[in-house]
Amino acid sequence: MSETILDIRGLVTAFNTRNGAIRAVDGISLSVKRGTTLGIVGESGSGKSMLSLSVMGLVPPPGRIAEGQVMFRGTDLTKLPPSKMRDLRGNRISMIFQEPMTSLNPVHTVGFQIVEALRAHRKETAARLKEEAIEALRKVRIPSPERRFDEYPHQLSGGMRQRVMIAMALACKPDLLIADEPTTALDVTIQAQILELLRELQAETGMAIILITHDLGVVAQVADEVAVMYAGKVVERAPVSRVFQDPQHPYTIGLMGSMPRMEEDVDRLVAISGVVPPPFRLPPGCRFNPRCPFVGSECRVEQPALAALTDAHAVACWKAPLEEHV
Amino acid sequence: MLRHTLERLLLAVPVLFGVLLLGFFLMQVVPTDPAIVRAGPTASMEVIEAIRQELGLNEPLWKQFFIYMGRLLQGDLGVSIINNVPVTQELGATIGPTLELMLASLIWAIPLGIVMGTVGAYYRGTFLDRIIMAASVAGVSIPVFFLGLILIWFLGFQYQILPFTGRPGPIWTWEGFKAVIMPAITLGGVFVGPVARMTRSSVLDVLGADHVRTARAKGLPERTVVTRHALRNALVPVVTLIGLQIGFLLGGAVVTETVFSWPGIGRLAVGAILSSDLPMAQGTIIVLSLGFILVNLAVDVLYAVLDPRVRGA
Repeated sequence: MSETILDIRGLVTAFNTRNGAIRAVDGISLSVKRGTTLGIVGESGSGKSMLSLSVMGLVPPPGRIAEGQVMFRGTDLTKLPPSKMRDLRGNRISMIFQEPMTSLNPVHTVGFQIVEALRAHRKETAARLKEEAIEALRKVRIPSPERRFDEYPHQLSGGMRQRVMIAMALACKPDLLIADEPTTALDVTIQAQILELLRELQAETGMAIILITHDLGVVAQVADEVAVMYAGKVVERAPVSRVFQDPQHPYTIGLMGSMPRMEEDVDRLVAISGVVPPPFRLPPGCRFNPRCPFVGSECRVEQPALAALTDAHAVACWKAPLEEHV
Repeated sequence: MLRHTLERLLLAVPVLFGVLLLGFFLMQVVPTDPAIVRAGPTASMEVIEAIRQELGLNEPLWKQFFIYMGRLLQGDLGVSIINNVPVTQELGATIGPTLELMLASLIWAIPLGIVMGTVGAYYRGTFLDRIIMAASVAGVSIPVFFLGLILIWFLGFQYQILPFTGRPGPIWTWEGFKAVIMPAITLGGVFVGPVARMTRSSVLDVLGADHVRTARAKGLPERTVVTRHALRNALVPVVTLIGLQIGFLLGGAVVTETVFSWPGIGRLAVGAILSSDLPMAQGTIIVLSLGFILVNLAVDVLYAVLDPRVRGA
């Protein structure tokens, strides 16, 4: 159960622009073990989606992986030729996306799109593929899957479409599922159902999940470990319970909208002022310093590295552990 | 699907009626008296009057319209004023060659335009893309008659590879096939550019769509992603454009048929209008309009084939 499925080491995903190379993902190291879920949290613009596309080998041009390794069960994905990468994609590593409304092709039936995913990786008869696709639909608890098989995406509700996306992603029984904001576009009850479904399917198959979200509530529900991203970097990383009990990075604290251990200044931290700086206008020093209520002189000069506080808890902040500074 | 088709078919009926009405009144406003044309320049007033009676030109307008419609329903489009041949007979003889020419033009021009546009979209911004777009602009900009004349000069006259005048036989005969090549290149040439440009912009749009990313995430090969998930979705606007362009193609056919002495309906129409042969002109207009309506009908049905969301609505 403890095999490391994915081990990202010092990953840099850069875009060459006229203003020079900008790094959407800037030196990230993370890993996920079989049967566990890593939650990646951050605001829009923090580079979390680009991180997942980097793992999939789907960074849109002119972006490219500039440095680092993505070790998937011992193979460095960044070194794989495109055809080998394609064999893994949708087969050993799958991805589901934020918008179930637009992520399915409106002109093909749901069944066809699942069969297509299977056929890309399996050599089987059409009848067998259809059976498997219907089985995949049944697995994600879609009622009367035989009938749904022949329907088009516009005939399904948002929640159903996301289930179809999950069925498609899991049809080949991948080792790793990357879920990029899988529930953001859905209403709260459906959201809970989908998260529950993901958890059940994980228990069945033992796959590792990377769950990308901006919603700490979602992370609390399903993740085992959390990595908080800010402006292309991981600023805090810890088991989910630690992050909620004892958040250390000011940004994490801000994300939670509360500060359990400090009575003063609570009001100021309910919302984090400002926005994530665009990657071509990063402040010197710690990237969070313009928005940080704890900012000190050293924060404006040099970037803090991600350093271990305890065995499982790492944080990138000059002031960590925060308690000592208050 | 069937219901959609039937609905479209029903909707075509009032359009058809409008076309017939317009065709009728168009001829009324032309400042030519068909009786005078028919009688010839030396005829006396009595002869002209007799012809007016015979053609029913002295009846009130509404009555003339009903007579015209009544005869139309029986498939009678009148008789040519110039040579006394039934209009339907002339139309029947020219419609085949025109259809042949249009088919021969579209059969290469549409696929070529779609391939060019798709390749251009996929390799957007590259040298290849620019060459393709430059070629399609050139294709649009060269006038039909000019391209026709250039082809005639080189292939027909200088090197004598292909015949360039008339239609010795139907397309399935060797002679007929050779004869249709140059007119088809000329007429199709205008078509490639617009189709390529529309396909390019449409495919470019779809390539950025979420479902294309999904298709890649499934591990599909690029070729499949582009054809099945981008081009397939991008075809609706392209089909619309093709439908509209076929209307222009009818106009282009007039020029092409004239340049290559092709015995088609375009040339018939021009001849009839120039010689004030009103029944003949009316007949050609009706047939060309009917063609346009049919093309639009086909486009509407194709929408439903291409986009399942249209079918239910």
